[in-house]
Amino acid sequence: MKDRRPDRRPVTDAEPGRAGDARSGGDISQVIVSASADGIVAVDERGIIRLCNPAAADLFARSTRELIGTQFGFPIVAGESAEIDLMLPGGGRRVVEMRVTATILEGERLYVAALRDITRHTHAERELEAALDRQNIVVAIAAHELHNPLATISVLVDVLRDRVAALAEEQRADIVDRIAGRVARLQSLVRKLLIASTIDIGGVSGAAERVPVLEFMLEQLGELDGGSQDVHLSCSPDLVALVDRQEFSAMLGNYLENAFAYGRPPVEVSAVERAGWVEVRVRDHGAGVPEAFVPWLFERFSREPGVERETEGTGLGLWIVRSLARANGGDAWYEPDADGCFCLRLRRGDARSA
Amino acid sequence: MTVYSFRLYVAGKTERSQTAEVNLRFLCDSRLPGGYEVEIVDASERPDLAEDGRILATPTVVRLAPLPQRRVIGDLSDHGRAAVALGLPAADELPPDRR
Repeated sequence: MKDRRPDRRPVTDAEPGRAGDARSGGDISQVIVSASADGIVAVDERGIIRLCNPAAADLFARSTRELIGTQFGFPIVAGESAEIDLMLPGGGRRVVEMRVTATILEGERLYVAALRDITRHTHAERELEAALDRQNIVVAIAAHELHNPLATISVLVDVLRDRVAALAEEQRADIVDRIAGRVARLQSLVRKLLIASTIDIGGVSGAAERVPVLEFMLEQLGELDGGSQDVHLSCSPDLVALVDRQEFSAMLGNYLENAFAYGRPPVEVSAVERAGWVEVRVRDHGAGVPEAFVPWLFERFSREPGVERETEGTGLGLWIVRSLARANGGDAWYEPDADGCFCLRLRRGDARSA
Repeated sequence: MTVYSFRLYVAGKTERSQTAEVNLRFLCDSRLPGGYEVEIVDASERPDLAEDGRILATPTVVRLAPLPQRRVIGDLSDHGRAAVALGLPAADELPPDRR
């Protein structure tokens, strides 16, 4: 922390241990040193620290008393500045930008290194780069995933418009169903992208309420349209979860979507109370997840390489489940048993819960 | 013949570390051909050695011999000033057989 309080004045080797009173010849230098937000270290011809300010003490994580009289070294910078690592007590490091100037203080030549912490700056830069990368991937995925269904919808609409009279009732119904399917897929994609952006900006509410699990699951299955008959449900009727209802819906919805897209029906969904938690397990009868891919299963944009071309998907679904589960005080994981099982743990919302 | 001995402290295999090592070897090859030793200490792998050497920043090069010790902070890209700070003989001071 760079504090500019007046009592945080520099210490010189003439007065070690004492916040230095301005000495006659060096007072201007000292005022500059003490007012600077940068860490200032002034060394003599032998590289020994003769003067430093509290900001430097903060950067080195050592007191000015420890620093004064210590060998720093002769600072040399080619050009305007250079980056160096400060070695912190206990093995840590801090990257700083160093600028060097020379001055005469009371007839003695001093080399002044101005140190600016760029660790946080570098960290922020990396975060920004990562965010931009994510943004680019989102745009690429959105463009790719939107393009195919839109192209299909366009063709089907053309057929309906141009050949409606020539089509049998059954064919027209089939085309409308296919359009509806594509629209549903687009809606799902847009929903995922919106949830992902909400998670990114920290906008997940986690506004927990008491949600009766069985009732909630039946509602969810009702929204599955044709797929619900392939879902086998088991849940204790008095099980209550403490969770944001909409986010629970997104979690379960993504697990089910994942099971239908990559697995094979029937899909078994069970909810039980276990060790003080509500545990939801979704199991399909597909081939399971290849062992090598399991560690990346819940990573954002991860997709199992083998299914990349066959199945549409964003690689966002499982990441969303885990992010929302954790925002709600729970977790999501995969258990690689015979068929593979996707699990979700939520807080209990009934009277017996802690 | 004076043998110069240097210890270069770096932190990890970063571009800074590599630049400092390349510059130090270049300076030694050009100013002290055949008459020097360089030891590299990675402070991220051996923090104890950095602590023993009372190293406050990296890259730091310490001239261990001849005495007195000298130490320079930075990646030594400014060859002229680095050579002066490390007390290396100027190019035109080299004996004829070492030029």
